[in-house]
Amino acid sequence: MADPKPAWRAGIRLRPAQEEILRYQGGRMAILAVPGSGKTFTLSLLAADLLQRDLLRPHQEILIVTFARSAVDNFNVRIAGFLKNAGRIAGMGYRVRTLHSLANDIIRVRPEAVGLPEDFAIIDEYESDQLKGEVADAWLRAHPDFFDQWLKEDASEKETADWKTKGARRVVNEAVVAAVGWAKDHELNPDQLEERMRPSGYLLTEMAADLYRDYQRALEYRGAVDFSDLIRLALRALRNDPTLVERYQDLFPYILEDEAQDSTNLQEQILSLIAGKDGNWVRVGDPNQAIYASFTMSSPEYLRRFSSAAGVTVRTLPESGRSQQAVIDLANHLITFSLSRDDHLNGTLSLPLILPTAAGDPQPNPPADPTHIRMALTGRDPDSELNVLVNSIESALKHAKGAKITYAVLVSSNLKAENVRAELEKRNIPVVDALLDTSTASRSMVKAVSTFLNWLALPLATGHVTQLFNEWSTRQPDLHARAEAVTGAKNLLGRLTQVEDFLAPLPGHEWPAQVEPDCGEVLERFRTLLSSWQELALLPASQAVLTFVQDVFSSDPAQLALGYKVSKFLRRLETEHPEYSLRDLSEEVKANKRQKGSLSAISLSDTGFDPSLYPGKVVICTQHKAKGLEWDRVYIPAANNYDFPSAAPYDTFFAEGYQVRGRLNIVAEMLAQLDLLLSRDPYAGYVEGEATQEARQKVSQDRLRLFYVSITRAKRDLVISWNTGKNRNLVKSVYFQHLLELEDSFHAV
Amino acid sequence: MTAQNPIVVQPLRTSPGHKTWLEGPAGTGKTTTAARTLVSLTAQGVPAGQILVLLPQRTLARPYQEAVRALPAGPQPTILTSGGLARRMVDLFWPLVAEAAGFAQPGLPPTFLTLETAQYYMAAVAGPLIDQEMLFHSVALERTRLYSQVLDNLNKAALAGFSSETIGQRLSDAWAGESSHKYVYADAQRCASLFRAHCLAHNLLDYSLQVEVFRDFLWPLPELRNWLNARTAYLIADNLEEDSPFSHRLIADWLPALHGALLIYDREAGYRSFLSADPSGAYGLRSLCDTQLEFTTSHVTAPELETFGRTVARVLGQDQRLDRQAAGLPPQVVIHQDARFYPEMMDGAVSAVTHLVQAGTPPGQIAILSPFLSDSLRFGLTTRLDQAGIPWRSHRPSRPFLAEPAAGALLTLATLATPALKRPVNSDALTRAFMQAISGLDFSRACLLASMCRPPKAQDGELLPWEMIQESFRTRITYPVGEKYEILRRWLAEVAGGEVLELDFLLSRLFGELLSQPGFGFHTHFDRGSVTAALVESAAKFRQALPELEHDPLQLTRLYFDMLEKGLITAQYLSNWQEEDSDSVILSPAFTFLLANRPVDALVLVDVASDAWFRRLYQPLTHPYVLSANWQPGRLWTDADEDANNRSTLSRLVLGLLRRCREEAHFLWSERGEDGLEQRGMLLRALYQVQLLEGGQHG
Repeated sequence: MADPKPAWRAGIRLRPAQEEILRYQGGRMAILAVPGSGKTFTLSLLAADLLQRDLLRPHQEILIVTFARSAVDNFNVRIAGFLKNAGRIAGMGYRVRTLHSLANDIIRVRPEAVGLPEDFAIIDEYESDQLKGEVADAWLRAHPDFFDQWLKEDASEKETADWKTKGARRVVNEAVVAAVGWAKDHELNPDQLEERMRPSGYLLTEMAADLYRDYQRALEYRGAVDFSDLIRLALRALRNDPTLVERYQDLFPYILEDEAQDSTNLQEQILSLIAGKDGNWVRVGDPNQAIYASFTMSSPEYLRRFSSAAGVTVRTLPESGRSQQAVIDLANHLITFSLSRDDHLNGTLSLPLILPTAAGDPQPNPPADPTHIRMALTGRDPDSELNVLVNSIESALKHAKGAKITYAVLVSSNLKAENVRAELEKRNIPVVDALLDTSTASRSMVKAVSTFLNWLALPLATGHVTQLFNEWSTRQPDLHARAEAVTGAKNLLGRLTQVEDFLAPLPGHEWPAQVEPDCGEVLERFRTLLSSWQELALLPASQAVLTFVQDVFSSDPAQLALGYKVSKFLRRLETEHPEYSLRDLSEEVKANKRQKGSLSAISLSDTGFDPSLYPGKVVICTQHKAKGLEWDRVYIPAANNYDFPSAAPYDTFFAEGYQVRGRLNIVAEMLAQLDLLLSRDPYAGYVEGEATQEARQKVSQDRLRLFYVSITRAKRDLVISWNTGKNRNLVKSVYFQHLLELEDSFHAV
Repeated sequence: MTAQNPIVVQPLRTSPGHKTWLEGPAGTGKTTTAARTLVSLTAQGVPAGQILVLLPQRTLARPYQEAVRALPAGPQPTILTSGGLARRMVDLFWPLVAEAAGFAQPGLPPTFLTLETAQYYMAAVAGPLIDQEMLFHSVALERTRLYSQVLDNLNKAALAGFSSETIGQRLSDAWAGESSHKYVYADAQRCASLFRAHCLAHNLLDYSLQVEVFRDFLWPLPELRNWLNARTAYLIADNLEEDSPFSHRLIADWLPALHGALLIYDREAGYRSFLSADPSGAYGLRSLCDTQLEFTTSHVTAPELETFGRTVARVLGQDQRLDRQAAGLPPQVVIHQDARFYPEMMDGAVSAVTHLVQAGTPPGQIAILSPFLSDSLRFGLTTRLDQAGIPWRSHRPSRPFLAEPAAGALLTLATLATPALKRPVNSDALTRAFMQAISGLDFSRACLLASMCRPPKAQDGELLPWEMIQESFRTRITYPVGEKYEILRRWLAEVAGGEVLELDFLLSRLFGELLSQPGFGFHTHFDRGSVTAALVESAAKFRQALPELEHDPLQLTRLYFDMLEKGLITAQYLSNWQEEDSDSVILSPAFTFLLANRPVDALVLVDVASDAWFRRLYQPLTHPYVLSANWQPGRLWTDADEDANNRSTLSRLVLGLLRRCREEAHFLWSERGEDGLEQRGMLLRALYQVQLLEGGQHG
């Protein structure tokens, strides 16, 4: 007999697989879920259910760990909703964290225990990449001929020149990322790495050690840590102090881990310490969506191993109401393709297959219609492929006739995204770029802050007042509908000659003397604010800016966070250069942005992105950033053997230089040599080229999963095309080719 | 024996040789009783000059000073800290102990160092060593904080009573973190030892040496004891829980020789543990007294607030016996939980204050408290209070003078009055100085004046006479402003034309003759007056600590400015707010409010979700608990210690705050902190748990 359903869940209809999961009583459990199967929903419900069962003591919390910051809000909102249903106080009894923020929680209590200053800064991935780029450039300047020995013997003059300039630069840029990641995953500091390396004589490991040391020095100079440090140091703090582990074990009697397919060695170690030997740990994930394995330390193998370990209950969430049947068929076809292979692709995608939801499910699949799946049989050159894609979008938008349809173009890199954006903008098609790294958020914040500092430095310049008015008025939602009044006010301000008559008028000298009431009201609001900002001139600029940001960007967490970052940047300048004037500080802020310094980073994708908010607009993003999202109509261009290689002999890989002997992947070779340093196998030896081949296989596995992820973003329409590359030598991806076998599931174009 | 309220209106009865112990929580009238006892003692014939009031810090002296004011003219009771007593005695008996204490020049007088001047010498002595040998190379800490922590270690060793040579070892033995960090403690020990040697060689006495010389060399001398005993008949020692083992041992030792004593102990307090306060050590004095009294009835806090505070403390102490009967939220506690962002929280706080005022609470009976009061938070709150027409005042603990706008203005003007310094003054600084110096001058006109009053591109030199400024600009700046500008300019020119003055003297004159006068910006600004007093005191002490530069005021001023720029000098002398009795809302860090010991009707606590309520300061070179008298050397300081300590700090803080609140306590926070990030600190979680108790959802 089924358990009676608790009253608070009365209105929530669950699938049998979900009901099964809610019967969880404790211990280890693995949940293997397919795309769109409601992982977040089920996990949130499980959290609420555990809380409702009164299993926790008042100070205890359920820890929910997820991969992306964007998912944190999602969990919070859902759990709060369930708890409200149950008549409980939201926000209490659980904690949603990314692994980074959990690590930060652990370290923040006593940063000095892991050798960090109290106000240690955390640089995000973007900033860390910038820093790595600088380190790489500096290293290459000091070792200009280092890579000559890898140049192929018959290299032409042009190839040699290309290699020495672009090729070597690319390699060293990738090498620094890989070396730093590797060393941190192996918990080695620069001294320890050097120690290990001493007898080896491998040239590439020497480069790795140099790059790692330089990068860590640059971090130390900034009093900062990167994301990998956070995790490494949190683990170390836990290992150093058993009482810390005990406290966390007591605090978090249940751990629910989302996106466990992207887990890393260190993540697994931290969570396993907190869960304790027999603790309650639920890991949810989809190994088929592990798309970071070839370039980070994450691997779906952790989840796979966990789910096959003794004592672990395994559950599946195989039903998904997201996509129409034809999309599901394509995705499942990729799984069977992988399972049928007898090479490295075997098992890259694994069961379960995606099942549509049963009749009467609250999330029914969109109606099946293979005509909504379009696949290009022939390849074009990249420009004409783009042209056809944009034509298709234009036509789809035209035919949508006001229906709220969402669109996305999923590409392999930010650079390609920029090309698509440019083409769409050329045709006046509305674009959403919030998921791109080059988003406009940080640009606009830096501009606003430097405008404000300029005004503080020279408040009498009418230009500064009008610029500040622009910054303020564009961010007042209620003024958007009063464009006329705003323009009127702006025009009037442009004619202001004596700013003090506006800011602090003497009796009888009020400015403007006469004004339309609507426009006057806008001006008066601005004047009140500006008057209050006068006193900010007495504060240090870093504090003044914080107030300005709070006044202007009052309810945008991403902007407030960025404003805080600018304020911290200014505080550092004030300490280091007490002689700086306000104008100097304003210049520094702008220069930092221009030079892509620490202020240029922060993407709105960090704070959650909801595609349904942008119907009728085209979201452009990378395939990686698309994970977890869904659109009615999805475009996947460039389904060729460059974007989606299968490690066939004729495939080309970005990480391999065509000028290099044996087309070696130098970074993969470096990592292989580093692994050897740690190997205890006395017979292990370095064979040049083996690592390159392994890297090809790893990349192709990632790309197969990425293709699967991209396809499963589509709810109803899917358009896949491919191009032959600028040298006209690319062919259809094997994966794409395989989908074309399913003749009944698409419409060929 | 438990006394229920009989004593508040009456002094304690004393009889010769009688020692009384009085304990109880805050707000039960202990200090009031003691102050009245002081008056009654004199009425009973105890000579006022033979009463010594010993306190852990100067800010607690106010009730006693008021009581003393009521006494007839003649010798007055002495109010001191134990450190102050040590310093006086060392000064007085210097020739008796200088040689024995190891000073190289016993024939020459001692120089007593303040924290700042000690930092100055520390910089001179340890700075080169740190540079040459790259000491502390992995510690990202400003030099000034590094020096102050090394000095702090010396002070802690002196107050706790262990040898300053064992500081490094103690810290190192307790360290549970990365072993690579341990060298830092050896480095800290080297700097401390070097500094100590330098002090002994040059007759310099920092705080730690004052304490040690007194304790180890003077106190054992019969001459000193006789001298002290002849002048001290009765001792009142208040807030013993906030005082150090040094004070406690002194009192314990002295007690048998005194005619009478009243020792007062505040239960569940001990907020100054990072300053070597030792509540458990203080409690040891109880058994040395003849009578033990206990006050239990609060004359301040509503019983519901007390109960609520106790529930929060029990939640924080993870008391497993908590049940739903433990009471949830009383009507006196208001939790505001709808703010998502920081500015909304500030709106909420000011709206709560507005409602309180409208309902009849006098503004002076409302305190807005936060764990830290940053410039930005202070500005945000005060702007909103101004808009609501509610008067306010704010109090912040010591900060670098350069962060005080008023100090900036004074120093800019002092620079203009001392052209021999050859220090450039940029126009931002000049604008800020004019804004503050000239009453009623707004920002835009101050800018205009700053840009017009000097020849183009000149960064120093004289200011132009008002008449030389272009007519059209004079009109815009306005003539009333011009009049004051001209007075200011003439004053500066006159001083600049004379001999270089000592900075403290120059600042005193600047304030007294000019800025404090009607029409000038310091006339009505109490805060600015306090900052001036603090700056004058700081500059004077700096001068006194460098007797070799006595005849070179220019060089002294230069050095002082350098120290300021390096942040070595802080406004730690800011006077006690109790000196100001205006009816305005108090804005202050919670800790400062606690130590001022001034109850209010309503508390408005903001930023409740922040971790800063309990997290101790980052001090990589020192450790308040490991360097305390109660620490067992050789033990590891683990996370369990840290967590227990955080919980007890927070419990005491919450109880302490609520015991200084008569009617209502408001708690406010925002989901996202000032940095835009989610925050849910221990205090917030404790409040939630108390709410849950009320809801009866947990057993």
